[in-house]
Amino acid sequence: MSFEYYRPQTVEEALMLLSEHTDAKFYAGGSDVLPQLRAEVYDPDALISLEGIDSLKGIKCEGETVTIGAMTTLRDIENSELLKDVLPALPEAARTIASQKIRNLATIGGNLCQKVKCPYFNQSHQTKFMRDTIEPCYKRKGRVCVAAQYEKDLLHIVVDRPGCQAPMPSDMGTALSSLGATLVLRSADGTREILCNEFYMAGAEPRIKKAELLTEVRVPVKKNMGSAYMSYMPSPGVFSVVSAAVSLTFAEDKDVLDTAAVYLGGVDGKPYPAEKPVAYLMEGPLTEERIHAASKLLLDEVNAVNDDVLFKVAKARDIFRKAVTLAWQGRR
Amino acid sequence: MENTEKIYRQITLTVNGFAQTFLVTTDEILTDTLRDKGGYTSVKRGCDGGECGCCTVIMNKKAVSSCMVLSVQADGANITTLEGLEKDNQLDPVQQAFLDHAAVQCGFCTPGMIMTAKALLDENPNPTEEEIVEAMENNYCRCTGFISVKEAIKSLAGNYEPRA
Repeated sequence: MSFEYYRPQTVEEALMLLSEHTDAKFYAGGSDVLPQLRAEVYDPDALISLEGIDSLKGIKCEGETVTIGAMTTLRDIENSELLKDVLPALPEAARTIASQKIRNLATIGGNLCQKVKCPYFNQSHQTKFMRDTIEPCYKRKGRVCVAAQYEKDLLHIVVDRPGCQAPMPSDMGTALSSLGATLVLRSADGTREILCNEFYMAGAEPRIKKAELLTEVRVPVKKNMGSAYMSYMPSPGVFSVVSAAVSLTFAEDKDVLDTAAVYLGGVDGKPYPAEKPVAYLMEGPLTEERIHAASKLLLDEVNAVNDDVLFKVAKARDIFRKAVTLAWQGRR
Repeated sequence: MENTEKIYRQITLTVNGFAQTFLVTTDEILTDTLRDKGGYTSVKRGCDGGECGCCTVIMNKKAVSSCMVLSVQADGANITTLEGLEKDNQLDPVQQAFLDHAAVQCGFCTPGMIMTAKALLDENPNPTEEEIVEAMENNYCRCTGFISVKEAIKSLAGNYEPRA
């Protein structure tokens, strides 16, 4: 492992450096790229640190849109009074990620573009010697998913899907999907925008091309809106086993929903839209009983093959109820 | 391996108030630079993955796990390690509180604990118990001496005066 290290001052400079190398990687906070380097998932010839680019940092509110620069640290998002006020789901989601010491460096852009996590692929560099003895999986250019050879477990998805069984790891991705956020990707050819809920393809790979740089995230702020994020973690500082992000808007009348979006993390390779419960909730006014009834429709297509799946579905329904209630009460 | 020839960079770190120049490889982590090249042995290499908190240093006023920072990334940064807390033969209030509450067992995690606690108190001199727990999560003590650590930090809440 040996690479050049650059610290450009502008986005243009960063994109130019990228085009000058065959296998360069952008380096934001480092809390994802560094473990991948250790696990030998990446072997870049150059790292391009984005830390010196001030235009990528900061949280702004212009009219109906909150713009978050891709290099804004998760700690800044967590402590932002503006976000706590208008989009409480985002600081809550940021708080669930790793520990404060990691969040002091980790950025929202890095969180959205992070590599998928799986013990059979890259989790923990200390067990790399063991992974070297197993058949390479889809992520290592192989043709099997090692996790699929065993029974389903808590670290993998519960919905039925062929291919890689690893869940989408980004908490911010789940939260931003429910809020209907747009990601702005910049390359030498110009900029393109993509909705956050379309940003991931199965297998938890972000739809970002090698020549592109995620520059900012735009989140629409609506009237009479409530949002919440909740996740279940078995212990502090680990990846969420399952998480729910809720964004509701209400009609002028008190408890009648105007729009609703609920996305789950940890159950699918991309943010999982809870379509059936949301359709049920939209049919009438929001009450405690109806939230409970809606949660029973969540993940009802899942084939509960073992207790781990049952547990994950039960936890998902539980945090769905809590998150919807929280968004309902926290409406502004 | 394809490319194994290391690339070197010269970086400047201000460690505990002294500007120092280090010659580092681009893939070197800050823990190794501080510990092996700088001799700041309070920076422990624990889990090597940002989980255990033993390598915590204060970088630009924020607690970070130094094993998750490349040395080249820290170029120009202002770093405080445990060695920099004691001044004029006087322990820092956080160190003294840890001593008074016997919040030390084997001591391996203690430098990281103290640096994390100090960063918390510098930022928020009156933390609640929840805030203390949240800041100190991912500081592992394998002797499991967490209660006395919490008590030590709690004793400083509200009457902590950071020293210049």
